Order: sequence, then C-alpha cells, then structure tokens
Amino acid sequence: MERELSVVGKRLPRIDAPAKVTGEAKYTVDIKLPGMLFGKVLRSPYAHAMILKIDKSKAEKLPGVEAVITSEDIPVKLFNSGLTDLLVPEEIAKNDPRDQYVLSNKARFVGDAIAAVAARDRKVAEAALDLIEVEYKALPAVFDVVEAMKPGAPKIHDFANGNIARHISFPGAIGDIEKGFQEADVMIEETFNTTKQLHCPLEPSACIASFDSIGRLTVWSPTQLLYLARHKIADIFDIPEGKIRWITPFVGGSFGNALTLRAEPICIALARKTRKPVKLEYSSEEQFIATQSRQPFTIAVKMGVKNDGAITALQGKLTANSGAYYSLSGTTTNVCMAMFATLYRCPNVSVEADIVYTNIPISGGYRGYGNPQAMWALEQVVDVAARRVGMDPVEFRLKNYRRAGDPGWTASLPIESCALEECIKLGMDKIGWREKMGGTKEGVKRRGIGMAIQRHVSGTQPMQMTHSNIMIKMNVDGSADLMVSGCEMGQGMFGVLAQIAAEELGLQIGKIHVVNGDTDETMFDDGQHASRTTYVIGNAIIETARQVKQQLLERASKILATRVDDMYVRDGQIYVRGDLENKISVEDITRRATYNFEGQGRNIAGKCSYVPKGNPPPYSAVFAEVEVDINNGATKLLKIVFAHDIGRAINPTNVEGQLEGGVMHGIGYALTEEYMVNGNNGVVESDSFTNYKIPSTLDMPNVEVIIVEQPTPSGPFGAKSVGECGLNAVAPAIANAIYDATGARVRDLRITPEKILEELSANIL
Amino acid sequence: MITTLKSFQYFHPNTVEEAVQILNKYGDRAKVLAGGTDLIPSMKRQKIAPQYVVYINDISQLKHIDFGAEEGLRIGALVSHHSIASSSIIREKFQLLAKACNKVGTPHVRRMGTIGGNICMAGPSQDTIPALLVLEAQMKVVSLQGERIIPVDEFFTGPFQTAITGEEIVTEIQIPCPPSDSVADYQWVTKRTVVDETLVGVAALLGMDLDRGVCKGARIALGSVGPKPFRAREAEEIIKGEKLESKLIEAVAQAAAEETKPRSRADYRRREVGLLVKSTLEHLWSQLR
Ligand SMILES: Cc1cc2nc3c(=O)[nH]c(=O)nc-3n(C[C@H](O)[C@H](O)[C@H](O)COP(=O)(O)OP(=O)(O)OC[C@H]3O[C@@H](n4cnc5c(N)ncnc54)[C@H](O)[C@@H]3O)c2cc1C
Repeated sequence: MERELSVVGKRLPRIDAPAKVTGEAKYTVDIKLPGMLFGKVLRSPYAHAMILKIDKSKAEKLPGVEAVITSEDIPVKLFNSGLTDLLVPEEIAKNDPRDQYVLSNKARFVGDAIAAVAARDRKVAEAALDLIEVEYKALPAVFDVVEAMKPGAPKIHDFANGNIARHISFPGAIGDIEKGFQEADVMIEETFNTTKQLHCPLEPSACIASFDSIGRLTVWSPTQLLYLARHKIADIFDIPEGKIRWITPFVGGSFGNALTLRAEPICIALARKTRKPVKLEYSSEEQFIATQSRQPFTIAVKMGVKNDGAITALQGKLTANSGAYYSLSGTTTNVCMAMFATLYRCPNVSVEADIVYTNIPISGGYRGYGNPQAMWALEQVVDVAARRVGMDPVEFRLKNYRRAGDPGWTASLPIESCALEECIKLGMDKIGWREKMGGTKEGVKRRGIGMAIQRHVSGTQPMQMTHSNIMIKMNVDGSADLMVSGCEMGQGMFGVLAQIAAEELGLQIGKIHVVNGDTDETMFDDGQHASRTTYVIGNAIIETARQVKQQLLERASKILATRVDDMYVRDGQIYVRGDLENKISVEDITRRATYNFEGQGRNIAGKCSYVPKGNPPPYSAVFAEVEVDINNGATKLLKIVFAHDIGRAINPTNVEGQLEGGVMHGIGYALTEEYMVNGNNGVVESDSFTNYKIPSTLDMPNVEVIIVEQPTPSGPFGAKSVGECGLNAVAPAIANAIYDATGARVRDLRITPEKILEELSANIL
Repeated sequence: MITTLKSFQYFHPNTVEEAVQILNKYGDRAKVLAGGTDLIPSMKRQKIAPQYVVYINDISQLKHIDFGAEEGLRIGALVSHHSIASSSIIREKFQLLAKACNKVGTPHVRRMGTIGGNICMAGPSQDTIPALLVLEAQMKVVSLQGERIIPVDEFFTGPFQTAITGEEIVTEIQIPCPPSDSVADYQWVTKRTVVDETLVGVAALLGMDLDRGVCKGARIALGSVGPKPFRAREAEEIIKGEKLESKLIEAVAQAAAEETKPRSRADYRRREVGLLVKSTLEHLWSQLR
C-alpha cells in the first residue's frame, strides 16, 4: 500500500520567499568586507591579436591602485574553465583541451581578459584600466566554423590543426549505417543550424576573495558547483584545498552559466597579489561577452525510414562552435550526440562531431546542455519523416521512441520508467490535436499545431562520478538542521529538499532548517547540474533521515516500551501503531538525548554518502499552436501545452514554475534571441538587453502544464527531474507548428519572419 | 564594460532662462538631461562623455499640456510619455500621439522619458516622430538669443541629428488642431519582442470631403525605414480627391514602400511598410465611411 504523504506533494510556499521579498537574502554583491578592494578587468578590443608589450607603470602609480596584474603575475597553468571535467578520470578528462590562463597572453576574442586591477574604489579601478598600455599586433580572425576549418585559416590555438579542438565519435554508435540507409524506403536529409543563446541570469558573475592572516582563502561566489570550483582553484593556484573555504550565497539565476569558473580566478589572483579582500563584479556587458553561452551547432542529419514508419538508420554530423576556448564544449557535444542518438529505437546509428575554435566568445553549457540543439534537428526530422511516410507525427513517435526497459544513454543503464504515452495522450486532448492538425489553409492568418518530445536525465550516472553527502543534526527543540552543499539559484531547491527531509523524518516543514553552500559546513556534492538535485540529493536525504529516525525510535522504544518496528513518526510525534494515545514528541526525545543526565548523552544526527543507483529519465511532450501571418511572416504563439513525466511532483507549484520558465527560454531560443557578432571585427553587437531580446511576459502565450505522476522506483518518493526539461523541445514544436500552418520549414534558429517568407516563396515557385 | 560615468559638472536650473545661460556658456561641451533614459545609457557606454550636464527636469514651466480650439495643443518638452498617453484631451483629439507614446518602452521608461527627449534623440525609429509629422507639429526652441519655431519636417536633419544647436533647448511642442473630418492612426511592428525597438512605424491622417465622399487629402509618415522619419509625399499625392478603394490602397502602399531607404533588413522592412500602410489606411477609411 502506498504510504500517505503529509509534506511531499503539497503546494507549499517557497521557504526562501520571505528572505527574498524582504531583501534579507544576501547575494554575493551584497557582501562587504572591511578594507575590501574592487577589481576590474581589461579586455581585448581585438578578436585575435598578439600581445607585444604591456606597460602597467602608469596605472600602478594612480593613487588608490593596489595592484595591476597581467598573465606574468599569475600561475602559468593552463586549465579548462568548465568544472565538470573533474568528474571523469584524468585519462578521459585530458581529451578536453586545457587552453586557458587566468589572464590571456594572446587575445582570442573581443573581451578576452588581458589584465586586471585592484583599487580602493571602483572608479579608481576603472580609471586605472585606461592607463594600462597594451601593444597589440592584430591577427586575422575567423568567426565562422566553416571558414575556421579551411586550410590557411588563422590559427587560434597552436595545438589545434584546422582549428579543430577535438573530434568525437559517439561511443554508443551501433549497427552499420550504410546498411541501414539501404534498407530504408524513404531517406530524409536535412541540415540545421542553432544559435548561441545567452543564459541572461539576473545576477552577473561576481566574486569576493579574501586571504586571512594564516593564508586561508575564503571565496564567496555564485557557483553551481562549489566543491568542484574549490578543487579547480586549488589546482590552478596551488593552494592546499583545506585552506580554501568556498561559500555560495543565494544565486541570482544561473541556468548553467555558473558551471564554469567566471570572475573567480581573476578575483583570487588579485587578492593573492594584494593580500587584501577583493570584490570583482562583472558588468552586465561583461556578463554578455565574457562568460560562456549555449554552443551553436550545425547538424546534418540523414535518416532512413521504412514505409511502416520504422527507423532503419540515423546519422548525425555535427560541427560545434566552441568560440575562443574549449570550456564545456566537449560535454555539451557529448550530451547533444547522446540525446540525438538515443531518443528513438534504431538499429543503425552513427554520430560524429567536430568541435571548432573561432574568435567569438566562449561556448558552453546552458539549461538542457546539448539537448535543445539535438531536438531542434531531430524533432524536425521526425516530423518530416512522419509526413513523408504518411503517418501522424504523434503515431510515428509512439512507434519509435525508446521506452522503459530499452537502453537509455548507455546500454548499461536501461530506461527505468517512462510515462511518455500518458503525456502525449493528455497533451493531445488539451491542444485539440485531432481537430486542429493540418491547420487552416485559407486567409492571411494561418493556424497550425506541432509537437515534439524530449527525454532528459536525472543526474549523470553512470557517465560521471557523482555522489552526495548529507548531514542532518537534530536540535533539542525537535527541529532539524539539514546540511547540504548546493546553491539556491531560484530553482526552489531549499523547499524541495526540506519537504523530502520533513516527510522522511516525520516533521513539519517549518522544523527543517537548510544549511547550505559552505565548504566549512557542508560535505562534498558534485553540484547543481544535469537536473540532479531532487533525485540524487533527495535520495541522499532520505537515507540520512532514516538514520536519524532510527535513533529517535530507539530512544522512544525504551520510553514507550514498544518495538522500533511498531512505531512511526508523523508531524513531530512518535506514535505506536494502532494506539494513538501511546506517543511521545520528537522534541522530548531530542531534549532528553542531549541533556541527558544518565550518561547516555548524544546529539541525534545522521550522515550519509550516497551514490545514485539509477538515472531515471524524465520525458516530456510539448505541443504548440501558432498563427502565422503569411503576408509578413510573423508568428504569433497562441498556446503551449507541456506534459511532463515527473515521477512524483515533490512540490507541484515548483514543477510548474520550472517548466514555465523552461518554456520561456525555449520560446526565446525559437523566436526572439539572437546573438550577433560583427563579421568584420568580432565585436558582440548583442551585448545588452536592448539588442539581445529575451521574451517578456507580454511575449508569452498561454502555457498549460500537465504533470504526469507515475512514481519511478529509484526516485525519492518516486520523483524524477524537471529542471532542464522545459526548454529542450519547445523550439522544434514551434517550428513543426509553423510548418503545419504554412508549409514553411525553418531549419535555422532563430525563426524570423524573413525565413518563413523565404520558405513560402520557395514553395510557391 | 565600464559601469560608472566619466565625471562631469552638474547643473540643475529651475528656469528656462537659467538653463540657456548655462548652455550658452558651455555649448557643445554640455548636454541637456531630461528623463535620462537615453542620455544616461549613452554616457555609461561612453558613447558620449559631456563635461557638463544640465538637468532640466526641475523646470516646472515645461510640464504643461494646454489645449485651445484656436491655438491647438501645446505640450511642454518635459511631459512624460505616460502623461501624454493618459491625458484625456490628447486621447480624445490626438489619439495617435497617445498611442505612439504608449508604445515607447516599458512603464518605467514611459514615466521617466519625455517627449522632448524623444524628439531630440532623433533616432530613425523614435516613435513620436511619425505622429508629429502627420500632425504637422512645430517645436519651440529657446536660447539666450531668443526663441524660434522649427516646423517638424525641418527639425530632423539626419540620423540622431536635429536642427537645434548646443545652446538651445526645446521648450514646447505645438500641434495645430487636426483638420475637421479627419482621422489618424499610428501602427507599428517591432524588431523581435513586444517591448522592442520599432522595425517599421506608420502614421497616417486622412481628411474627408464628406459631401463628395472622397478623401480630401492624406498625410503619411514612415518611421525606421530611412535615416530619419519622413513624410511619404508621393504616396500622399495618390490619395487626394479619391475614394480609398482597395486598388488605390495597394497603389499607395506600393508608392510608400518605394520611398523608403532602410539600412538593414531592407526587403523585409519595405514589405512591412506596404502592409502597414495598407492596414492603417483600411482601418481609417472604415472609420470615415
Ligand atoms: C528600455 C528602453 C526602451 C525604449 N523604448 C523606446 C521606444 O519604444 N520608442 C522610442 O521612441 N524610444 C524608446 N526609448 C528611447 C528613449 O527612452 C525615449 O526616446 C525617451 O523619450 C527619451 O526621453 P528622455 O527624456 O529620457 O531623454 P534624455 O535621455 O534625457 O535625452 C535624450 C537626448 O535629448 C536631449 N534632450 C532632452 N530633452 C531636451 C530638450 N528639451 N531640449 C534639447 N535637448 C534635449 C538630451 O541632451 C539627449 O541628447 C527607449 C529607451 C529605453 C532605455
């Protein structure tokens, strides 16, 4: 019998809400230390240039300036700014180039960090930047991957011939692709392009670094992966890791932007040089140009299909634009390939990728990682294929998708659970699929509907090393401190983890206090990535809570003279089964345990190290309804229906929020966001919210979220993940709807009115 | 990448007289600051770095909205977009201007930004300008030397350029009453999102000869499709004395599109001009009949 839940599954208010609405919540920029200096970074105005000479003497003489540093003042250690390479063994990690210094000795994009200043106030720091004299020798630059791979193209990194940073063959390739093509009745060949989407978190990157008198370094920074950030910094600066305390205050949104080091290495270098606390805050423009963004891909797809809709072969040839440095390009490409290759059953699969350097800002990981890029191509190809063999695109997907028991990402971990069919069924009803499919074919304003599906992960098992380490300590008043590494970046982690802890401990939600994000107080966790928090940390919390509960029950059993197995905890009371009168409060137990005058004193607490046993993939079905004006090509989004296979919604309101937010990112990816780099000089033209447009509430259609709950066996209370899922398949669903409405197939993001018109006029001819 | 402003000397005069005295002294080294929604971002990005900044928003003389049947509408240069968009007299008699002001930016920008700032910024996509062009507004401009009146179509000299000198400020926008039996409208499309720069803006005013059931005349102004917003005179000519039947509207739309000189997305903007002119005229004609 399913046990009755009292906290999990409830629409509880966020526990960080009061702090946020009153302004009590502290973000990195709110923190001020006595004697703190302000850092500023000098960035290259050239897309590609040798640095012949840097004269910092004038800047150093400016009153108030405490340090001016260049690449010569910092460790000569190449590193990869992405942090997740630490989660695979060195023999694998080393395939990803380490190509970055804290400050560059050669400029590789407009915005590359060349020098930095620490001064007593911001204005002085900025004034000092103007006094640093850098002699550059401009080199020819290249911004486009095709150009970059041509013989004679400017060489961005010495080791990378043809600017190819790395070639990856998808390790999960199966069968014989040529044979698969031959077996096909219908061949589909299409090429797609995706864009460099920006995370646009509210909070730009910031860092404070401070060494104390015995050389211990404290860092405050909004990172998603605090233990990994600490590990990498220890390595770059050769500081024993125990001598670094890393604190992650509230994070003002990240969406994957903080999966790399950003302002931290430069800030720490300045603090090391001055031996004073330094704060380095990126301006909004720096956030736009000097942090990483979604990796753009060209994806050439070849799919073979039988007349009955069976897929016989799937081939992908990917070219990824890494930008000036490698960063997270490898893992993003891997995710893109895996998502592309394993969403559908197909006996012959091959995917190859080239990761190419260009002189544009760095590409990396962004909510969904490589999945949105893969879905943009795959979910349109599937739409094309279905129509070519005369099948409803939904039927085609239902026939071919990989489901429970099928191999997932890796053959070693079969798909644990899947509620896609239910998602599709409910979504179809809500959007009115059967009535509306085929669109309106008359008039200026044409309506149409389209859909796409996605599958994501609940963590990184077994691709990467992953574990979560939790402590729960009871207080004498019967409340619990939950010590967990991680960051609250708006995703609602505090509340969800507290709900899980409260449920398992049998306490009310208000009795859980979350202690978070401080390496002095919380233990190792690989961090907030791969939509893992609820699934992995949630399970770790359950295991820890059970230890605590056992101790509570053991003490209660003596007092109530009942066997441990015959008792349970609910709402802070320990009851004897079948005898509601025979009970004792948790508070009573915890007080008597700590203030114990019989020599049995103990602070009731638990600790566990948890390695996830599975990786149940969440599925989603996205339906879009559009109205396209065939005179001007403008697309109006009428409705999005999003059905998600969550396993169990720990907090349904939070799940809806995650999905709606993801959908908004997906709509921006599809229709409004465009990262523009000047093709002559490499200057980023979309370096502010004025010319890089994310959707506002006024651009949002009606979004209906359907939560499908079919508990997954290995999940905490059956939960799978949600964080990244919202955006992965939104853009192809919209593109498919536009096709349904007009017959225009847009293959390159962003979907502009011009592209639709161009397709329409081509169709008429 | 710079976030703080370069230093400057700051003045906050309380009267027009004081303001023009300061400007007279510093000329082009000074910049007038009204709502600041354009000037401050430009200074932050160091597109401009004035040595003197003259904050005029304390000048209460320039915040009026006056209307008389004879003299028409007079709007002080410091009136915000929000005040214009919510003024009952403007909504009643100059609805297209209210509509244009309500299009500008976000609620915050509409409360901070002024109509004087909008026209003095003089960008090709500035939203009040097409409306002011078809309303045949004129600007009252004051300097230490005295005042002068500049008709709207002489006010703009190029992209982000106006006919006023560094010693002058715009104090008032004067708008004559529209011809009787006329209707007017402003329509636009944005570049990408709802709150975004205007990709194409079309203002049109149609005057009706009710006895003959034909159009007495039309004024059509186009924004964001040339170095500055302008009147599409050739298109206007076609309408004079005619009934606005669909064929004629097509011809007007075509003529208007041909008068444009867009810098980027040229084909698309041209196509959009045709479509917007058409929909604006159709809308107005349906109101007149
Ligand atoms: C987010 C955002 C969105 C925007 N959206 C739009 C939009 O949709 N449509 C649009 O048209 N504009 C838009 N703008 C631009 C701008 O805000 C408006 O044009 C606004 O009206 C400018 O007025 P202001 O009072 O803020 O000007 P300020 O910034 O104070 O001044 C602008 C310029 O005019 C000069 N100036 C101002 N007043 C006078 C005067 N009385 N005499 C002489 N010179 C003067 C200043 O010296 C400066 O050069 C937007 C701006 C922002 C920041």
